[in-house]
Amino acid sequence: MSTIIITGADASYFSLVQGTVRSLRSKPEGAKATLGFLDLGCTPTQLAWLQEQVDIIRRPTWQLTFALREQVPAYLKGIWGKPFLPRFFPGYETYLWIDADAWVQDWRGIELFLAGAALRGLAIMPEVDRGSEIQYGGLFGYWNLAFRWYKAAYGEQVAQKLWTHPMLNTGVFALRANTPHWGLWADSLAEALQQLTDVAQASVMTEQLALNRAVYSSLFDQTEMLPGWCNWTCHWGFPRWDPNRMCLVEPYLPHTPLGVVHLTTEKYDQVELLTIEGQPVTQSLRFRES
Amino acid sequence: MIVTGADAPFFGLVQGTIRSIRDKPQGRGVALGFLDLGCTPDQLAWLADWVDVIVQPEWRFPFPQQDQIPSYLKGSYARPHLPEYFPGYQTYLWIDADAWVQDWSAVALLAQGAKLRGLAIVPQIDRGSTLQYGGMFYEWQITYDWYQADFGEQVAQQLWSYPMLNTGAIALHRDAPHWQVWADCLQMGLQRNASHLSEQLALNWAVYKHGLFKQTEMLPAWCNWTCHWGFPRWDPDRACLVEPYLPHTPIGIVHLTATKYERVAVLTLEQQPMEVNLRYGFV
Repeated sequence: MSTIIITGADASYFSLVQGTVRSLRSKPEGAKATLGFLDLGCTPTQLAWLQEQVDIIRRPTWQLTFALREQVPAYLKGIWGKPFLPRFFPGYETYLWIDADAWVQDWRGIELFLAGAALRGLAIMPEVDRGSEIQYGGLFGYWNLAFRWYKAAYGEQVAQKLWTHPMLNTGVFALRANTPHWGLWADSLAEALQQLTDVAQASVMTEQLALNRAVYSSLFDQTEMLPGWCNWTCHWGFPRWDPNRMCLVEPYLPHTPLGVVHLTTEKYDQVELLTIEGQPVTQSLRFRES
Repeated sequence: MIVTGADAPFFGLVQGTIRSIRDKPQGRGVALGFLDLGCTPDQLAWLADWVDVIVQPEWRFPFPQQDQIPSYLKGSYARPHLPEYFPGYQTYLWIDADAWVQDWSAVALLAQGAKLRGLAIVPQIDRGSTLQYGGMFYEWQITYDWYQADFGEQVAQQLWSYPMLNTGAIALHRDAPHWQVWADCLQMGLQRNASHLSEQLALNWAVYKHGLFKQTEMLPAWCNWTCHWGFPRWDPDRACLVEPYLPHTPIGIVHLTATKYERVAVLTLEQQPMEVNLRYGFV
Protein backbone atom coordinates (compact mmCIF):
# COMPACT_ATOMS: atom_id res chain seq x y z
CA MET A 1 0.00 0.00 0.00
CA SER A 2 1.47 3.36 -0.99
CA THR A 3 1.67 5.90 1.78
CA ILE A 4 2.90 9.46 1.85
CA ILE A 5 3.78 11.29 5.04
CA ILE A 6 3.27 15.03 4.74
CA THR A 7 4.20 18.02 6.82
CA GLY A 8 4.56 21.72 6.08
CA ALA A 9 5.89 24.98 7.46
CA ASP A 10 6.77 28.58 6.75
CA ALA A 11 10.13 30.17 7.53
CA SER A 12 9.27 30.85 11.16
CA TYR A 13 8.49 27.16 11.81
CA PHE A 14 11.48 25.86 9.88
CA SER A 15 13.58 24.80 12.84
CA LEU A 16 10.62 22.91 14.29
CA VAL A 17 9.84 21.17 11.02
CA GLN A 18 13.48 20.20 10.67
CA GLY A 19 12.91 18.16 13.82
CA THR A 20 9.78 16.62 12.33
CA VAL A 21 11.58 15.62 9.13
CA ARG A 22 14.73 14.42 10.89
CA SER A 23 12.70 12.41 13.39
CA LEU A 24 11.07 10.62 10.46
CA ARG A 25 14.25 10.09 8.46
CA SER A 26 16.23 8.86 11.48
CA LYS A 27 13.98 5.82 11.85
CA PRO A 28 14.63 2.79 9.61
CA GLU A 29 11.00 2.83 8.46
CA GLY A 30 11.10 6.57 7.83
CA ALA A 31 14.36 6.53 5.92
CA LYS A 32 12.60 4.93 2.99
CA ALA A 33 9.18 6.56 3.42
CA THR A 34 7.83 8.99 0.84
CA LEU A 35 7.82 12.44 2.40
CA GLY A 36 5.82 15.39 1.10
CA PHE A 37 6.22 18.99 2.18
CA LEU A 38 3.85 21.93 1.93
CA ASP A 39 5.95 25.05 1.47
CA LEU A 40 4.07 27.80 3.27
CA GLY A 41 6.79 30.41 2.84
CA CYS A 42 10.25 28.98 3.40
CA THR A 43 13.44 30.80 2.36
CA PRO A 44 15.56 29.53 -0.57
CA THR A 45 18.16 28.21 1.89
CA GLN A 46 15.52 26.35 3.84
CA LEU A 47 14.08 24.89 0.65
CA ALA A 48 17.54 23.72 -0.37
CA TRP A 49 17.79 21.76 2.89
CA LEU A 50 14.30 20.36 2.40
CA GLN A 51 15.07 19.19 -1.12
CA GLU A 52 17.74 16.94 0.34
CA GLN A 53 15.34 15.49 2.89
CA VAL A 54 11.89 15.14 1.34
CA ASP A 55 10.59 13.64 -1.90
CA ILE A 56 8.04 16.19 -3.03
CA ILE A 57 7.63 19.87 -2.24
CA ARG A 58 4.38 21.62 -3.11
CA ARG A 59 3.34 25.21 -2.69
CA PRO A 60 -0.36 25.03 -1.83
CA THR A 61 -2.91 27.28 -3.43
CA TRP A 62 -6.28 28.21 -2.03
CA GLN A 63 -8.79 25.46 -2.70
CA LEU A 64 -11.78 27.30 -1.35
CA THR A 65 -13.32 30.68 -2.08
CA PHE A 66 -14.20 32.93 0.82
CA ALA A 67 -14.42 36.67 1.40
CA LEU A 68 -11.26 37.16 3.48
CA ARG A 69 -9.05 34.90 1.38
CA GLU A 70 -6.50 37.56 0.46
CA GLN A 71 -6.30 38.95 3.98
CA VAL A 72 -5.68 35.89 6.15
CA PRO A 73 -2.09 34.73 6.83
CA ALA A 74 -0.55 32.80 3.93
CA TYR A 75 0.42 29.83 6.11
CA LEU A 76 -3.28 29.03 6.44
CA LYS A 77 -3.15 27.83 2.82
CA GLY A 78 -1.35 24.83 4.27
CA ILE A 79 -3.37 24.35 7.44
CA TRP A 80 -6.65 24.78 5.64
CA GLY A 81 -5.23 22.73 2.79
CA LYS A 82 -5.29 19.51 4.85
CA PRO A 83 -8.64 18.32 3.41
CA PHE A 84 -7.09 18.65 -0.06
CA LEU A 85 -3.87 16.69 0.40
CA PRO A 86 -4.75 14.18 -2.38
CA ARG A 87 -4.97 17.13 -4.77
CA PHE A 88 -1.53 18.42 -3.80
CA PHE A 89 0.02 14.95 -3.72
CA PRO A 90 -2.05 12.73 -6.01
CA GLY A 91 -1.63 9.01 -6.40
CA TYR A 92 -1.24 7.64 -2.89
CA GLU A 93 -3.50 5.25 -1.06
CA THR A 94 -2.94 6.66 2.42
CA TYR A 95 -2.02 10.16 3.56
CA LEU A 96 -0.43 10.69 6.96
CA TRP A 97 -0.21 14.31 8.07
CA ILE A 98 2.07 15.47 10.87
CA ASP A 99 2.22 19.11 12.05
CA ALA A 100 5.54 20.96 12.05
CA ASP A 101 5.44 21.22 15.85
CA ALA A 102 5.25 17.44 16.21
CA TRP A 103 7.93 14.76 15.84
CA VAL A 104 8.13 11.02 15.80
CA GLN A 105 9.78 9.42 18.81
CA ASP A 106 8.60 5.85 18.35
CA TRP A 107 7.49 4.43 15.01
CA ARG A 108 4.77 2.38 16.70
CA GLY A 109 2.70 5.56 16.76
CA ILE A 110 2.96 5.86 12.97
CA GLU A 111 2.21 2.17 12.54
CA LEU A 112 -0.97 2.51 14.57
CA PHE A 113 -2.12 5.53 12.53
CA LEU A 114 -1.60 3.57 9.33
CA ALA A 115 -3.28 0.45 10.71
CA GLY A 116 -6.25 2.53 11.82
CA ALA A 117 -6.61 4.16 8.41
CA ALA A 118 -6.43 0.76 6.72
CA LEU A 119 -9.11 -0.57 9.08
CA ARG A 120 -11.64 2.27 9.08
CA GLY A 121 -10.57 5.10 6.78
CA LEU A 122 -9.48 7.75 9.27
CA ALA A 123 -7.19 7.26 12.27
CA ILE A 124 -6.96 10.13 14.72
CA MET A 125 -6.44 10.82 18.41
CA PRO A 126 -9.37 12.17 20.48
CA GLU A 127 -8.19 14.39 23.34
CA VAL A 128 -9.36 12.00 26.06
CA ASP A 129 -6.61 10.70 28.26
CA ARG A 130 -6.10 9.94 31.94
CA GLY A 131 -2.74 11.73 31.67
CA SER A 132 -4.35 14.99 30.55
CA GLU A 133 -4.48 17.58 33.32
CA ILE A 134 -7.59 19.21 31.91
CA GLN A 135 -9.61 16.11 32.74
CA TYR A 136 -9.23 16.84 36.44
CA GLY A 137 -11.36 19.93 36.92
CA GLY A 138 -10.63 21.93 33.77
CA LEU A 139 -12.84 20.25 31.21
CA PHE A 140 -15.97 22.33 31.70
CA GLY A 141 -14.04 25.54 31.02
CA TYR A 142 -12.59 24.02 27.86
CA TRP A 143 -16.02 22.86 26.73
CA ASN A 144 -17.30 26.42 27.04
CA LEU A 145 -14.43 27.57 24.84
CA ALA A 146 -15.23 24.83 22.32
CA PHE A 147 -18.86 25.94 22.37
CA ARG A 148 -17.83 29.45 21.34
CA TRP A 149 -15.59 28.09 18.57
CA TYR A 150 -18.33 25.85 17.15
CA LYS A 151 -20.93 28.59 17.47
CA ALA A 152 -18.77 31.07 15.54
CA ALA A 153 -18.14 28.52 12.79
CA TYR A 154 -21.47 26.67 12.55
CA GLY A 155 -24.04 28.34 14.75
CA GLU A 156 -25.68 27.54 18.04
CA GLN A 157 -27.32 24.24 17.08
CA VAL A 158 -24.07 22.56 16.03
CA ALA A 159 -22.29 24.02 19.06
CA GLN A 160 -24.90 22.51 21.38
CA LYS A 161 -24.40 19.12 19.76
CA LEU A 162 -20.62 19.06 19.72
CA TRP A 163 -19.32 21.13 22.63
CA THR A 164 -18.78 18.13 24.92
CA HIS A 165 -17.36 15.76 22.32
CA PRO A 166 -13.64 15.06 22.66
CA MET A 167 -11.64 17.20 20.25
CA LEU A 168 -10.12 15.10 17.47
CA ASN A 169 -6.64 16.50 17.07
CA THR A 170 -5.76 17.07 13.41
CA GLY A 171 -2.08 17.65 14.19
CA VAL A 172 -1.48 14.03 13.25
CA PHE A 173 -3.86 11.82 11.33
CA ALA A 174 -3.88 9.13 8.68
CA LEU A 175 -6.61 9.07 6.04
CA ARG A 176 -7.11 6.70 3.14
CA ALA A 177 -7.62 8.23 -0.29
CA ASN A 178 -10.90 6.56 -1.12
CA THR A 179 -12.90 7.70 1.91
CA PRO A 180 -15.82 10.11 2.27
CA HIS A 181 -13.94 12.05 4.95
CA TRP A 182 -12.07 14.26 2.48
CA GLY A 183 -15.16 15.66 0.77
CA LEU A 184 -17.19 16.10 3.94
CA TRP A 185 -14.24 17.74 5.69
CA ALA A 186 -13.78 20.15 2.79
CA ASP A 187 -17.51 20.96 2.76
CA SER A 188 -17.49 21.55 6.47
CA LEU A 189 -14.42 23.78 6.21
CA ALA A 190 -15.98 25.75 3.35
CA GLU A 191 -19.07 26.36 5.46
CA ALA A 192 -16.99 27.67 8.36
CA LEU A 193 -14.95 29.95 6.13
CA GLN A 194 -18.12 31.58 4.81
CA GLN A 195 -18.81 32.71 8.39
CA LEU A 196 -15.47 34.50 8.66
CA THR A 197 -16.12 38.22 8.97
CA ASP A 198 -12.92 39.28 10.68
CA VAL A 199 -9.31 38.27 9.99
CA ALA A 200 -8.83 37.94 13.75
CA GLN A 201 -11.23 34.96 13.67
CA ALA A 202 -9.04 33.10 11.17
CA SER A 203 -7.54 30.28 13.20
CA VAL A 204 -5.56 27.10 12.89
CA MET A 205 -8.49 25.56 14.78
CA THR A 206 -10.91 26.11 11.91
CA GLU A 207 -9.93 23.02 9.93
CA GLN A 208 -9.85 20.95 13.13
CA LEU A 209 -13.38 21.98 14.03
CA ALA A 210 -14.41 21.17 10.47
CA LEU A 211 -13.11 17.60 10.70
CA ASN A 212 -14.68 17.15 14.11
CA ARG A 213 -18.01 18.27 12.73
CA ALA A 214 -17.72 15.91 9.76
CA VAL A 215 -16.74 12.88 11.86
CA TYR A 216 -19.30 13.38 14.61
CA SER A 217 -22.07 14.10 12.08
CA SER A 218 -21.73 11.03 9.89
CA LEU A 219 -18.29 9.40 9.93
CA PHE A 220 -17.96 8.12 13.47
CA ASP A 221 -18.00 4.44 12.56
CA GLN A 222 -15.41 5.04 9.88
CA THR A 223 -12.98 6.60 12.33
CA GLU A 224 -10.43 4.79 14.50
CA MET A 225 -9.88 6.54 17.81
CA LEU A 226 -6.24 6.12 18.81
CA PRO A 227 -4.69 6.38 22.29
CA GLY A 228 -3.09 9.56 23.62
CA TRP A 229 0.46 8.25 23.26
CA CYS A 230 0.06 8.23 19.45
CA ASN A 231 -0.14 12.06 19.42
CA TRP A 232 0.83 13.41 22.82
CA THR A 233 -0.45 16.98 23.16
CA CYS A 234 1.99 18.52 25.60
CA HIS A 235 -0.19 21.48 26.56
CA TRP A 236 -2.53 19.12 28.43
CA GLY A 237 0.30 17.62 30.46
CA PHE A 238 3.97 16.72 30.19
CA PRO A 239 5.08 13.15 29.64
CA ARG A 240 7.53 11.46 31.98
CA TRP A 241 11.10 10.45 31.21
CA ASP A 242 12.22 6.85 31.29
CA PRO A 243 15.98 6.91 31.96
CA ASN A 244 16.39 3.24 31.10
CA ARG A 245 14.72 3.38 27.71
CA MET A 246 15.90 7.01 27.23
CA CYS A 247 12.52 8.16 25.96
CA LEU A 248 9.45 10.18 26.81
CA VAL A 249 6.62 8.02 28.11
CA GLU A 250 3.02 8.36 29.29
CA PRO A 251 2.87 9.86 32.81
CA TYR A 252 1.04 6.82 34.19
CA LEU A 253 1.61 3.08 34.02
CA PRO A 254 2.28 1.18 31.85
CA HIS A 255 4.41 4.16 30.70
CA THR A 256 4.01 3.44 27.00
CA PRO A 257 6.64 5.33 24.99
CA LEU A 258 5.12 8.29 23.15
CA GLY A 259 4.77 7.71 19.42
CA VAL A 260 4.47 11.35 18.34
CA VAL A 261 5.41 14.25 20.64
CA HIS A 262 3.24 17.25 19.76
CA LEU A 263 4.27 20.69 21.03
CA THR A 264 0.76 22.02 21.03
CA THR A 265 0.51 25.69 22.05
CA GLU A 266 3.91 26.35 23.73
CA LYS A 267 6.92 25.32 21.66
CA TYR A 268 8.87 24.01 24.62
CA ASP A 269 12.50 22.98 24.47
CA GLN A 270 14.17 22.20 27.80
CA VAL A 271 11.62 21.56 30.52
CA GLU A 272 11.47 20.08 34.00
CA LEU A 273 9.94 16.63 33.83
CA LEU A 274 9.62 13.74 36.24
CA THR A 275 11.20 10.37 35.67
CA ILE A 276 9.06 7.26 35.99
CA GLU A 277 10.40 7.00 39.55
CA GLY A 278 9.14 10.53 40.27
CA GLN A 279 12.55 12.20 40.25
CA PRO A 280 12.93 15.68 38.62
CA VAL A 281 14.95 15.79 35.41
CA THR A 282 15.61 18.43 32.77
CA GLN A 283 14.86 17.17 29.28
CA SER A 284 14.12 18.60 25.86
CA LEU A 285 10.68 18.04 24.43
CA ARG A 286 12.09 18.61 20.92
CA PHE A 287 13.65 16.06 18.63
CA ARG A 288 17.31 15.37 19.34
CA GLU A 289 19.47 13.12 17.16
CA SER A 290 20.63 10.19 19.27
CA MET B 1 -4.03 -10.23 49.02
CA ILE B 2 -6.96 -10.15 46.61
CA VAL B 3 -10.33 -9.58 48.23
CA THR B 4 -13.85 -9.88 46.89
CA GLY B 5 -17.24 -10.42 48.46
CA ALA B 6 -20.86 -11.23 47.75
CA ASP B 7 -24.21 -12.21 49.15
CA ALA B 8 -26.31 -15.19 47.99
CA PRO B 9 -27.82 -13.54 44.86
CA PHE B 10 -24.34 -12.55 43.60
CA PHE B 11 -22.84 -15.97 44.30
CA GLY B 12 -22.96 -17.12 40.67
CA LEU B 13 -21.08 -13.99 39.63
CA VAL B 14 -18.48 -14.16 42.39
CA GLN B 15 -17.76 -17.79 41.52
CA GLY B 16 -16.62 -16.44 38.17
CA THR B 17 -14.48 -13.80 39.88
CA ILE B 18 -12.75 -16.41 42.04
CA ARG B 19 -12.36 -19.04 39.32
CA SER B 20 -10.95 -16.41 36.95
CA ILE B 21 -8.23 -15.75 39.51
CA ARG B 22 -7.54 -19.33 40.59
CA ASP B 23 -7.47 -20.63 37.00
CA LYS B 24 -4.49 -18.40 36.17
CA PRO B 25 -1.01 -19.65 37.05
CA GLN B 26 -0.32 -16.39 38.91
CA GLY B 27 -3.57 -16.67 40.85
CA ARG B 28 -3.22 -20.21 42.13
CA GLY B 29 -1.00 -19.27 45.03
CA VAL B 30 -2.29 -15.78 45.73
CA ALA B 31 -3.99 -15.12 49.07
CA LEU B 32 -7.73 -14.69 48.51
CA GLY B 33 -10.00 -13.01 51.03
CA PHE B 34 -13.79 -13.06 50.93
CA LEU B 35 -16.33 -10.77 52.56
CA ASP B 36 -19.40 -12.88 53.30
CA LEU B 37 -22.35 -10.55 52.87
CA GLY B 38 -25.00 -13.23 53.28
CA CYS B 39 -24.09 -16.43 51.51
CA THR B 40 -25.85 -19.72 52.16
CA PRO B 41 -24.10 -22.61 54.00
CA ASP B 42 -23.69 -24.46 50.68
CA GLN B 43 -22.13 -21.43 49.08
CA LEU B 44 -19.80 -20.95 52.04
CA ALA B 45 -18.76 -24.59 51.77
CA TRP B 46 -17.78 -24.01 48.12
CA LEU B 47 -15.94 -20.83 49.08
CA ALA B 48 -13.98 -22.61 51.80
CA ASP B 49 -12.32 -24.69 49.11
CA TRP B 50 -11.39 -21.72 46.95
CA VAL B 51 -10.45 -18.81 49.22
CA ASP B 52 -8.09 -18.48 52.15
CA VAL B 53 -9.97 -16.25 54.57
CA ILE B 54 -13.71 -15.57 54.94
CA VAL B 55 -14.85 -12.64 57.05
CA GLN B 56 -18.29 -11.28 57.88
CA PRO B 57 -18.02 -7.49 57.96
CA GLU B 58 -20.02 -5.35 60.35
CA TRP B 59 -21.04 -1.72 60.31
CA ARG B 60 -18.03 0.21 61.49
CA PHE B 61 -19.86 3.19 62.96
CA PRO B 62 -23.48 4.33 63.39
CA PHE B 63 -25.23 6.35 60.68
CA PRO B 64 -28.86 7.39 60.25
CA GLN B 65 -29.90 4.94 57.48
CA GLN B 66 -28.11 1.96 58.97
CA ASP B 67 -31.26 -0.09 59.55
CA GLN B 68 -32.93 0.83 56.27
CA ILE B 69 -30.32 -0.12 53.68
CA PRO B 70 -29.45 -3.61 52.40
CA SER B 71 -26.99 -5.48 54.59
CA TYR B 72 -24.78 -6.29 51.59
CA LEU B 73 -23.63 -2.66 51.74
CA LYS B 74 -21.60 -3.72 54.77
CA GLY B 75 -19.18 -5.12 52.21
CA SER B 76 -19.09 -1.94 50.19
CA TYR B 77 -18.54 0.23 53.25
CA ALA B 78 -15.94 -2.19 54.60
CA ARG B 79 -13.49 -1.49 51.79
CA PRO B 80 -11.62 1.35 53.54
CA HIS B 81 -11.05 -1.11 56.39
CA LEU B 82 -9.71 -4.14 54.48
CA PRO B 83 -6.36 -4.20 56.36
CA GLU B 84 -8.31 -4.50 59.62
CA TYR B 85 -10.39 -7.41 58.31
CA PHE B 86 -7.42 -9.12 56.64
CA PRO B 87 -4.32 -8.01 58.56
CA GLY B 88 -0.75 -8.73 57.57
CA TYR B 89 -0.57 -8.13 53.84
CA GLN B 90 1.47 -5.54 51.96
CA THR B 91 -1.00 -4.78 49.18
CA TYR B 92 -4.76 -5.20 49.06
CA LEU B 93 -6.44 -5.64 45.70
CA TRP B 94 -10.21 -5.40 45.78
CA ILE B 95 -12.30 -6.79 42.91
CA ASP B 96 -16.11 -6.57 42.78
CA ALA B 97 -18.19 -9.75 42.47
CA ASP B 98 -19.44 -8.59 39.06
CA ALA B 99 -15.89 -8.37 37.70
CA TRP B 100 -13.48 -11.09 36.63
CA VAL B 101 -9.87 -11.36 35.56
CA GLN B 102 -9.36 -12.15 31.90
CA ASP B 103 -5.69 -11.15 31.64
CA TRP B 104 -3.35 -11.08 34.61
CA SER B 105 -1.51 -8.03 33.27
CA ALA B 106 -4.23 -5.86 34.85
CA VAL B 107 -3.67 -7.41 38.28
CA ALA B 108 0.07 -6.91 37.82
CA LEU B 109 -0.42 -3.26 36.84
CA LEU B 110 -2.76 -2.59 39.77
CA ALA B 111 -0.21 -4.08 42.16
CA GLN B 112 2.64 -2.14 40.55
CA GLY B 113 0.68 1.10 40.72
CA ALA B 114 -0.08 0.60 44.40
CA LYS B 115 3.58 -0.07 45.12
CA LEU B 116 4.61 3.03 43.15
CA ARG B 117 2.14 5.57 44.50
CA GLY B 118 -0.10 4.03 47.17
CA LEU B 119 -3.37 3.67 45.27
CA ALA B 120 -3.91 2.30 41.74
CA ILE B 121 -7.33 2.82 40.22
CA VAL B 122 -9.04 3.37 36.87
CA PRO B 123 -10.61 6.77 36.12
CA GLN B 124 -13.63 6.47 33.83
CA ILE B 125 -11.97 8.25 30.90
CA ASP B 126 -11.53 6.31 27.71
CA ARG B 127 -11.82 6.78 23.98
CA GLY B 128 -13.72 3.49 23.87
CA SER B 129 -16.45 4.74 26.21
CA THR B 130 -19.68 5.61 24.39
CA LEU B 131 -20.35 8.16 27.11
CA GLN B 132 -17.54 10.37 25.82
CA TYR B 133 -19.32 11.07 22.57
CA GLY B 134 -22.20 13.25 23.63
CA GLY B 135 -23.26 11.81 27.00
CA MET B 136 -20.80 13.43 29.35
CA PHE B 137 -22.74 16.53 30.36
CA TYR B 138 -25.78 14.47 31.30
CA GLU B 139 -23.57 12.10 33.30
CA TRP B 140 -21.99 15.05 35.08
CA GLN B 141 -25.42 16.29 36.15
CA ILE B 142 -26.19 12.91 37.67
CA THR B 143 -22.78 12.90 39.32
CA TYR B 144 -23.53 16.33 40.77
CA ASP B 145 -26.68 14.95 42.42
CA TRP B 146 -24.76 12.02 43.88
CA TYR B 147 -22.09 14.24 45.44
CA GLN B 148 -24.70 16.69 46.67
CA ALA B 149 -26.64 13.91 48.42
CA ASP B 150 -23.56 12.57 50.22
CA PHE B 151 -21.40 15.63 50.79
CA GLY B 152 -23.43 18.75 50.03
CA GLU B 153 -23.50 21.45 47.40
CA GLN B 154 -19.94 22.70 47.81
CA VAL B 155 -18.32 19.32 47.20
CA ALA B 156 -20.71 18.66 44.30
CA GLN B 157 -19.63 21.92 42.66
CA GLN B 158 -15.98 20.96 43.09
CA LEU B 159 -16.19 17.40 41.82
CA TRP B 160 -19.03 17.00 39.34
CA SER B 161 -16.74 17.23 36.31
CA TYR B 162 -13.93 15.03 37.61
CA PRO B 163 -13.61 11.55 36.10
CA MET B 164 -15.17 9.00 38.40
CA LEU B 165 -12.55 6.71 39.93
CA ASN B 166 -14.11 3.27 39.79
CA THR B 167 -13.65 1.37 43.04
CA GLY B 168 -14.71 -1.94 41.49
CA ALA B 169 -11.07 -2.92 41.00
CA ILE B 170 -8.41 -1.13 43.02
CA ALA B 171 -5.09 -1.84 44.68
CA LEU B 172 -3.93 -0.06 47.80
CA HIS B 173 -0.64 -0.40 49.61
CA ARG B 174 -0.89 -1.19 53.30
CA ASP B 175 0.95 2.02 54.26
CA ALA B 176 -0.96 4.34 51.93
CA PRO B 177 -2.60 7.34 53.59
CA HIS B 178 -5.72 6.73 51.52
CA TRP B 179 -7.24 4.21 53.92
CA GLN B 180 -7.82 6.62 56.77
CA VAL B 181 -8.87 9.57 54.60
CA TRP B 182 -11.26 7.32 52.67
CA ALA B 183 -12.77 6.00 55.91
CA ASP B 184 -13.17 9.52 57.28
CA CYS B 185 -14.81 10.76 54.07
CA LEU B 186 -17.16 7.76 54.02
CA GLN B 187 -18.12 8.29 57.63
CA MET B 188 -18.92 11.94 56.89
CA GLY B 189 -20.93 11.06 53.79
CA LEU B 190 -22.97 8.37 55.50
CA GLN B 191 -24.22 10.85 58.05
CA ARG B 192 -26.08 12.58 55.17
CA ASN B 193 -26.88 9.72 52.79
CA ALA B 194 -26.17 6.03 52.31
CA SER B 195 -26.22 4.55 48.81
CA HIS B 196 -24.48 1.86 46.78
CA LEU B 197 -22.11 4.58 45.53
CA SER B 198 -21.24 6.16 48.86
CA GLU B 199 -17.86 4.46 49.27
CA GLN B 200 -16.88 5.27 45.66
CA LEU B 201 -17.83 8.92 46.05
CA ALA B 202 -15.92 9.00 49.34
CA LEU B 203 -12.73 7.72 47.71
CA ASN B 204 -13.09 10.20 44.85
CA TRP B 205 -13.45 13.06 47.33
CA ALA B 206 -10.47 11.74 49.29
CA VAL B 207 -8.23 11.51 46.22
CA TYR B 208 -9.25 14.72 44.48
CA LYS B 209 -9.66 17.10 47.40
CA HIS B 210 -7.66 15.70 50.30
CA GLY B 211 -4.17 15.86 48.85
CA LEU B 212 -3.95 12.31 47.50
CA PHE B 213 -3.96 12.95 43.75
CA LYS B 214 -0.20 12.61 43.37
CA GLN B 215 -0.26 9.43 45.41
CA THR B 216 -2.72 7.84 43.00
CA GLU B 217 -1.80 5.95 39.85
CA MET B 218 -4.41 6.39 37.14
CA LEU B 219 -4.54 3.15 35.17
CA PRO B 220 -5.85 2.55 31.66
CA ALA B 221 -9.42 1.45 31.12
CA TRP B 222 -8.45 -2.08 30.10
CA CYS B 223 -7.47 -2.67 33.75
CA ASN B 224 -11.15 -2.35 34.75
CA TRP B 225 -13.39 -2.32 31.70
CA THR B 226 -16.80 -0.96 32.67
CA CYS B 227 -19.13 -2.67 30.20
CA HIS B 228 -22.05 -0.29 30.67
CA TRP B 229 -20.07 2.41 28.84
CA GLY B 230 -19.40 0.21 25.84
CA PHE B 231 -18.75 -3.39 24.96
CA PRO B 232 -15.26 -4.61 24.20
CA ARG B 233 -14.51 -6.37 20.92
CA TRP B 234 -13.67 -10.02 20.39
CA ASP B 235 -10.34 -11.10 18.99
CA PRO B 236 -10.93 -14.53 17.43
CA ASP B 237 -7.21 -15.22 17.05
CA ARG B 238 -6.35 -14.59 20.68
CA ALA B 239 -9.83 -15.76 21.79
CA CYS B 240 -10.28 -12.88 24.19
CA LEU B 241 -12.12 -9.63 24.76
CA VAL B 242 -10.11 -6.59 23.72
CA GLU B 243 -10.41 -2.78 23.66
CA PRO B 244 -12.75 -1.63 20.87
CA TYR B 245 -10.03 0.48 19.24
CA LEU B 246 -6.43 -0.16 18.24
CA PRO B 247 -4.09 -1.46 19.53
CA HIS B 248 -6.85 -3.75 20.85
CA THR B 249 -5.15 -4.42 24.17
CA PRO B 250 -6.73 -7.46 25.86
CA ILE B 251 -9.11 -6.44 28.62
CA GLY B 252 -7.49 -7.24 31.98
CA ILE B 253 -10.58 -7.09 34.19
CA VAL B 254 -14.06 -7.35 32.70
CA HIS B 255 -16.49 -5.45 34.91
CA LEU B 256 -20.22 -6.05 34.43
CA THR B 257 -21.17 -2.64 35.73
CA ALA B 258 -24.93 -1.96 35.81
CA THR B 259 -26.46 -4.77 33.71
CA LYS B 260 -25.12 -8.25 34.49
CA TYR B 261 -24.81 -9.33 30.90
CA GLU B 262 -24.22 -12.89 29.89
CA ARG B 263 -24.30 -13.68 26.16
CA VAL B 264 -24.19 -10.52 24.06
CA ALA B 265 -23.50 -9.60 20.46
CA VAL B 266 -20.17 -7.82 20.08
CA LEU B 267 -18.01 -7.04 17.07
CA THR B 268 -14.85 -8.86 16.16
CA LEU B 269 -11.69 -6.96 15.17
CA GLU B 270 -12.86 -7.30 11.60
CA GLN B 271 -16.18 -5.73 12.60
CA GLN B 272 -18.14 -8.95 12.21
CA PRO B 273 -20.99 -9.49 14.71
CA MET B 274 -20.41 -12.37 17.10
CA GLU B 275 -22.17 -13.63 20.21
CA VAL B 276 -19.86 -14.01 23.20
CA ASN B 277 -20.19 -14.54 26.93
CA LEU B 278 -19.22 -11.45 28.94
CA ARG B 279 -19.07 -13.59 32.08
CA TYR B 280 -16.20 -15.82 33.07
CA GLY B 281 -16.81 -18.99 31.14
CA PHE B 282 -15.70 -21.75 33.43
CA VAL B 283 -18.83 -23.83 32.98
